[in-house]
Amino acid sequence: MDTLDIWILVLVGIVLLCQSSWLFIDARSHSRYPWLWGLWGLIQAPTPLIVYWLVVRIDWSKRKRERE
Amino acid sequence: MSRRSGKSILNNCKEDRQIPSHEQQGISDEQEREALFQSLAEEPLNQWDHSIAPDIPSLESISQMISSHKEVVRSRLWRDLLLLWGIGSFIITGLMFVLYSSLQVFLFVQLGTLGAAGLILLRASFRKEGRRKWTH
Repeated sequence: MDTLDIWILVLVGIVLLCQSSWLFIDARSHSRYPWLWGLWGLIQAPTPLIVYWLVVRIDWSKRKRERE
Repeated sequence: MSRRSGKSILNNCKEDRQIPSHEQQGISDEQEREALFQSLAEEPLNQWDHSIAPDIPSLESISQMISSHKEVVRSRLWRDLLLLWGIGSFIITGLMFVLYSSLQVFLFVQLGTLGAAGLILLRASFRKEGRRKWTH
């Protein structure tokens, strides 16, 4: 494992921690499962962000009403 | 929403209009009745007003309550964040070991996490909305 691999791992770790922290803090205000989002954000990226945006942040019923 | 006191109910605003003479007798009778009612009922109505008036907290006490609750929420957030970062460091380190030891296991873990998260969210979407804590 060379220096570049180590730097990549460190960068990935930082990105995962930042993603997880942001998801956790935002989910405390908008969702009932902040720990779910926080832990998921530690394991994968950027799937939890995309799913969070689609499931929690977008109000599909409001969009449907606006279209009607 | 302002609550009208008993006294204010008696003091209705009259419309600004020209009053015909045949109505003036009625108005003076009404004024007499009003004055009599006020003399009889003013004191008990004031007492009743004071007895049912709620304790209105001062602005300082409300500000103090909000700032102390914000402090509690902030300390709880930092505690949860430190716990998340501690757990996160273990998870990330473990994932990196798994990635370098076996790519298949790593992919299995990733797919398993995706499936588990999907199942939890699907199950949660069918449950009724519950009461949420004030977290912000």
